[in-house]
Amino acid sequence: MNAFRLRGGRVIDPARNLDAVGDVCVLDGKIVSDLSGEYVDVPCEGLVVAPGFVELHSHLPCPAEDGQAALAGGFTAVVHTPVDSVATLLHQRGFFQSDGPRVLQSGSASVSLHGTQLTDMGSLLGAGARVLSQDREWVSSSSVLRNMLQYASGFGATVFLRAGDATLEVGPVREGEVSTLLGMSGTPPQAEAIGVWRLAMLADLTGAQVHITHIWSAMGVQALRCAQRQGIGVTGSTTAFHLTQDPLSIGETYSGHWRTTPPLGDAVDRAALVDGLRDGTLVAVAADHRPMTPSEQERPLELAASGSVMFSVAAALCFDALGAADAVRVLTSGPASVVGLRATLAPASPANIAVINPAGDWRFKMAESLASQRNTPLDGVMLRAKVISVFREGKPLRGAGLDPMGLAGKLHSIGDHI
Amino acid sequence: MRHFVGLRHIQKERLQHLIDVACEYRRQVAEGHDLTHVLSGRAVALMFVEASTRTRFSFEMACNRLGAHPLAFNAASSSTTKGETLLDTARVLRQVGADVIVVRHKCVGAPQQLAQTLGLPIVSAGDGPNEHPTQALLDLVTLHDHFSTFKGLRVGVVGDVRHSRVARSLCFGLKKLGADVVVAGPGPLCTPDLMALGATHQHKLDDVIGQVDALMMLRIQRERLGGSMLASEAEYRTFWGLTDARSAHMQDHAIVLHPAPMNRGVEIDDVVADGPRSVIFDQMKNGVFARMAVLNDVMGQS
Repeated sequence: MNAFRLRGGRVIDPARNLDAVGDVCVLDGKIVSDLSGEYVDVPCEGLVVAPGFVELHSHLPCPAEDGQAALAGGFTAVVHTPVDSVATLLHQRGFFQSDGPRVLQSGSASVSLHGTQLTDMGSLLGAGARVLSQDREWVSSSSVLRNMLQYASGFGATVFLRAGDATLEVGPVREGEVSTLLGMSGTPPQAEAIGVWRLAMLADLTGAQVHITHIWSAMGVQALRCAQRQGIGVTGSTTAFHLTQDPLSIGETYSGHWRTTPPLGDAVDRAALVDGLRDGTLVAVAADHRPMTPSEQERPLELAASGSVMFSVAAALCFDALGAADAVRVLTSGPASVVGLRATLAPASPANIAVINPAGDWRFKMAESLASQRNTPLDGVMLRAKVISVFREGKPLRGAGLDPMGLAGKLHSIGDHI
Repeated sequence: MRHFVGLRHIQKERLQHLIDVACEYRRQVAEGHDLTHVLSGRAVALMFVEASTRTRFSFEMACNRLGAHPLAFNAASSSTTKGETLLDTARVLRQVGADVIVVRHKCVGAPQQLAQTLGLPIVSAGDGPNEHPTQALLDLVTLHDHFSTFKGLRVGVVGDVRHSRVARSLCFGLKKLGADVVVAGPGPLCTPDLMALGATHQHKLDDVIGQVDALMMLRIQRERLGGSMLASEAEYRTFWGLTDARSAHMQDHAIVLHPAPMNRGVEIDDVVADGPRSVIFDQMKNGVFARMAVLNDVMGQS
C-alpha cells in the first residue's frame, strides 16, 4: 500500500485546462480522485503540483547517472538520442534503469545522421522507436530530405529536424552586434528562417509530421508562425538554454562550456521565443541535456563540442522566464503532444508528478548535480523556481537534498523494490 | 593578478600609462641604459600555438632587454599535437617555472580562458580574429609619436576589418583614448556590424582618404582572394589599394601604417610604403618597447 495526498498546492494540469489550488491523491502508483483509509498527508501550500515533465531530446550517455539527474530535475519521461539500427536500439534498451525516468527511444532518420542515406525507419519504429530524428544534423540535399520525409510519412512517424542552414550557420553566436563585440564569427538568423521554410514546404509536399527542434531566433519563430497560419502542420520547440542565456556573458570567460548548437541569439530573439511559447507557435521547451567530457569541452570555445548538462536547471529556467502556468504547459502537455504521450494528473493516470517551489531562490551548484559530466557555464547561477519533489508512478525520488519533504521515509521510494 | 588579454575592457588610464612607459623605455635604450635588472631572473613562456615570426621575435627581444628569460615553445613539436588540452600545456609551463605566459592561438578567447583558470599573468599575442592587443599598443605608440594626443584624431582602417584582430584591438584602443575611427573595405570583409565597435562605416578607400589623419592599411590575405569574398588582387587594388596616385589625396600631415607583412603592389604601393608618409618600420621598432611595457606591467613592477 502506497497512498498519499499532496494537499493544498497550486495544481497546474494543462492537459485538463486546470490551474487551481487543490489536492492530488495517489494510490498504488496511480492518480485517484479521493482516498479513504490510511494515507500519508503531504502539505503543499505555496507549492506548484504538476505532471512530471516530458523531455524531447536529451543524451543519457550514462543512463544511471543521467537518468537520476533527469528525475531530480522533474523529468519523468525522456526522448533519447537517435540510433541507426534495430540492434543498437535493443542493446541500448538493456541499459535503462527501472528506477530512472521512462525513456522513449528514437531512430536516426539517416545513417550516422549524415543526411545522405535513409535508415530502416520502418524496422526502427517497429522495434520501439517513438520518433525519427536527425538530432542536430543538417540534411544538405533537399531531394534527400524530401525522400526522408516521404518515407517517414508512410509509417506515420514524427520526424525531429533542426532548421539551421549549415552553410550559413558558421558561428556560435548571432551575427551582428553580439558577434562583433565578442570577436567571433556569427550566424545570421536568416540561416534558421530559410531552414524553417524549407522544412515547412517539404512537410506540406510529403504530408510528413515534422517537429522543428532548437528554434533560437525571432526570424525562425516568425517563419514558423507564418507556415502554421497557412495551415501547414509543422510544430516547433526551443531549448531552455536558448530561451534564457545572453551570449554577451561569453565575453567574461570565453569558456568552452558556452558552446551551443544552434547559436545563442540576442535579447530580441529571446523575447520572440517567449512570445512564440505563449501564443502556441512553439509547443515545448527541451532541456537538451548533453554531457561532454572535459577533453571535449574544456577547450577554446570554437574547438569545443557543443551542449551542456541541463536537467538540474532546465525547469527552473523555464519557470523564471515564463511563469508557472506557461512553464508547466511547455514542459508537460506541449512536448507530450509531440511524442503522443499523455502528461496529466487526471484520475487513473500514472502518478508522474513534479512538485515545484516557485520561490525556492537557490544557487545551482554543479558539484551537487547527479549528471554524468559537469559541462555547464551556469555553475553558481541564482535561480528562483526549484523542483523539490518528483514521483515516478507514485514513488518519490530519494537521495540527499532531493527529498526536503521527507517522503522517502514514509513511502516506498523509487528504487526500493526493483 | 594582472593580465593583458585585450583592449576591449582595459582601463583608459592603464592604456595611457603603457604608452608612456613604452616611450620611456625607448628613450632609455636610445641613451644606452642597461635595463636588464628590471625583470632579472624572470621566465617568460612564449606559447605560440599559432605560427608567428615577427611578434615572437619582438617578444623575445623585449624579454632580453629587460633581463627575463624567454622560454620558446614550438607548437609543431609540442604535446598539443598529441591531444593535450591548451590548459594542460599551460599548466606544464607554469610548473616548469614560467612567471608569465604569452599566448597566441587561432581560437577566439583562448587567452581569456587561461587568465580565468591558470593563476599566472597572461599576455595575449593574438587570439583568432578577436584581438591583438600588443600590436594595437605599438600602433598607439606610433600614433602618439606623431600627434601627441588622441583627442579628435581621425584614423582610417582599410581592408579585411572583419577578420582582423589588429583592426579590432586598434578600434577599442582608439575609442578609449578619444579618437574617431572610420573603417572601409569590400562588403563581405567590412560589414556594417563593425559600427558596434564605435567606428563609422564607409565603402571605398576614396570615401575616407581625404578626411583622416592616419591610415591603417590592413594586409589582404591571399587565401581570401578568388573565393566567394573577393575576386582578384587587381580588383582589390582598384578600390582599396593605397596607390601612389591615391596617396596624393591624403591630408599633408597624414601618415600611413601597416601591421606587416605587406603585399606590396596590392594593398599598398612600394612608393607609399617606403615614402615619407610611411611609419611602417617605426611601428616594428616600437613593438619591442610596447611589449617591454606590457611584460613589466603584468609582472607587477613599475
